[in-house]
Amino acid sequence: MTGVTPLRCRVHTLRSLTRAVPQAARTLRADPSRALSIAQLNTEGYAVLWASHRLYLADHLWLIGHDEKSGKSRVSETVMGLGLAGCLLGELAFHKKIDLTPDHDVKVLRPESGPERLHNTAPEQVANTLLQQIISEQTRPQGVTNVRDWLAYTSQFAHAWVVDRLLTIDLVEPYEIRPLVRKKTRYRVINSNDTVRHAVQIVGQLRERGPIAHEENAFLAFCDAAGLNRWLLRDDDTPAMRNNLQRQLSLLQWPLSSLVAETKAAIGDAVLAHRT
Amino acid sequence: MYTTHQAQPPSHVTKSLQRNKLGTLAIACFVLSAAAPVTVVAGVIPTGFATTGIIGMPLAFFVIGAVLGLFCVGFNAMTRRISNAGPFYAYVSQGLGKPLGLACFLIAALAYNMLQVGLYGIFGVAVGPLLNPVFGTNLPWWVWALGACAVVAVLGVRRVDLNGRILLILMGLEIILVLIFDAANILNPATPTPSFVAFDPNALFVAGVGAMFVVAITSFVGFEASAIFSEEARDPARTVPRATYLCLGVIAVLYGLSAWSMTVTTGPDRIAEFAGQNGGETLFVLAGTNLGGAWPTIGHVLFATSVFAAMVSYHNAVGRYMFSVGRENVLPGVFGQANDAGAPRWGSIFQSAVGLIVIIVYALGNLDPLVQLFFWGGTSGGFGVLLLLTVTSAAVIGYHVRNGSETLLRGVIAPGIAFVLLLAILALAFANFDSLLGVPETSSLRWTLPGAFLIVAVIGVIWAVILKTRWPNTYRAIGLGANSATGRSTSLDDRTGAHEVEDGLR
Repeated sequence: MTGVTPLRCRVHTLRSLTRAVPQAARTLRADPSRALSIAQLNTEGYAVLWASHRLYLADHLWLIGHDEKSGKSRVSETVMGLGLAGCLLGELAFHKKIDLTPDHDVKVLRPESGPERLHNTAPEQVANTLLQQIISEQTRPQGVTNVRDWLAYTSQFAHAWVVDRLLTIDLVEPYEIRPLVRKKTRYRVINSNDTVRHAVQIVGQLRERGPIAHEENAFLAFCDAAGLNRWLLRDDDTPAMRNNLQRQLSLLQWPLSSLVAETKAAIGDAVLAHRT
Repeated sequence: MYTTHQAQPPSHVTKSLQRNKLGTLAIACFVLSAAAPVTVVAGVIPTGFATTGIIGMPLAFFVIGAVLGLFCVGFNAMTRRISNAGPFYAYVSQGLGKPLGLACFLIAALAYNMLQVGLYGIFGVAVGPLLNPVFGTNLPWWVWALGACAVVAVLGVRRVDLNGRILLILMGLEIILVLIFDAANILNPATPTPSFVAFDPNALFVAGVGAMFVVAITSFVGFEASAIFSEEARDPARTVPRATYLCLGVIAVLYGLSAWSMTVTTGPDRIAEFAGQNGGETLFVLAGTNLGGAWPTIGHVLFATSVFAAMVSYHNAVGRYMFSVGRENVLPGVFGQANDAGAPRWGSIFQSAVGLIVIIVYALGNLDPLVQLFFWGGTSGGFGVLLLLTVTSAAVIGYHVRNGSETLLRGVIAPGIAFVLLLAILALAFANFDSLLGVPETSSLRWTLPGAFLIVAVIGVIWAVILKTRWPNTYRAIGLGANSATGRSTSLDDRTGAHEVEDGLR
């Protein structure tokens, strides 16, 4: 699940290019998995720095869950928060950092490895922060372990965390709107090609009933849990496609399947609660 | 050597989870804010006096309050174990079996729809005299009712549910107003000293008392909403039960006091006649006599807002039930979808459509909005809720027998006594249904309206059997609500581990 986005770093000459490279490196420091390559000078003497970056499960859910142009959420704030929370936990599960017990508690895998090693191998800082909190709670006598509690807790911060990630890679930009009473900040996608391409690719695979990668299957499942299918499928929202989707979702394995189910149940409860 | 053990302070995660949790008072306020006190005191009580002619209504409120208190012993125990926004439906599904559970869903849907739609009648009648002079119009009741229907429909899909503060403030004002009116009534007795005849137990041993009990139970509808807050309660084992008992106590005292104060100021032997002459204006006529000034007008305004709040509350109850069942795919899956505002979109639209159709039918048929819509709808809906309470009491016992999860008092004795008492009230209500509606004994309505609940119950059972045969996965999800995604019902007891729920009785 990768995407490419141009950095905002247009340079005019080779001399300024050498100044630009460290600047770009600082910008990209948050994610060591990124690669940096420099395009050749074009005929006009401009060089554009390109960076490949990785989009994670929660990033993709955020992108499909918000209108590209206006940044308006397509579902309620609570539903989005829970969906993103599920995705953040899903990222940890996908990278085998956590598992779910039969009692639906979150369990850290390989705790004997020690927190230092987990810290260094966590794929990304937000997920790492969450992982550290899970580890910390597991060491407490009355610590929080139940997956629903982790979903509820993480949902409070998930949106801000994921937006920070997207801002770091310059995928979204903030802008303010001023409805009647107070101003609000929304985030619109700078280059929606990534979002569209990713969605089109997955929908194409669904239509042809081709194999879908495990992580992308998880993305489909979380979209389903958050009620974002119609935005994902769009013009392809037909009974046949929905059948294909359900068939694909049934292939999701533990613990992601359980995590998705808990997220969906939490979202349902949130809708039913009085204070959503 | 001595060591001092110090408890660890709560972690950031724990504190964060507790931050938005509700305490007893908060839950009680949320529940009471949908109780719409002025609607009951101005609408239900006088109509109940007029229709049944029984002066023992004040005592009936306390009796019903006590019976419901017993009911809540088992009800609250189930709340801790089963999380579902449609509590009657979920508890019966898991206590008495899924076919009966589905039957209860349909009964609940019909009952809450009747209660909600009935309010359009009294809203139109109450608001017309207030707003027609303001706008210089002479619009009939159904125009105002249609307007209210439109507003409720919009609020429903935009998830402007209980916006906490506004309805809380209105409820507070309503309670203050009711207490002022009650005090004025008591200070102006028809006899030299206030009469307590209405509290004489003999006042309940008269013909038609079943109808009186249904009227009283209708006034309590909404107390079960405390179960919805169990997920958000600070300490579900204690907070929700306390809030429930607090609500029952406030409702019983407030309505019992109000009903008694009316008998005091008119005289116990004249209340039925007075209420019959003045109908829904009884409270305000008395306020005009005893207080004068702008008080009747203030009362009318709060009455209109109270009815509106009750409309929104019942509308959302129906929407939640349908969302919960839609999540299970027992209803088409679209009912289990929420829109971008987080509202159960299609459940809300469905309920709005029902209201719209009923208003149009009553308008075209030139039917009486006060008696034939409000009172018939309200009391029939109350009968439906009484039926649900009775069956749920039995379900609590069934659940305990199968799971053995509670003490004997909570699991068997209290719900058993509640079941017997509620069954007796149900039987009396059915026998007195003609009195309840104020129609002759030979009227077909005394059979068709309660019979409607039997019909939908049978449909529910048949539907469950069909689901079991053709869609067993969906059948297994009956009663799980939003948790149908996980296939289990969550226990709220500090979430140490959710217990798997076995299939219901075959």
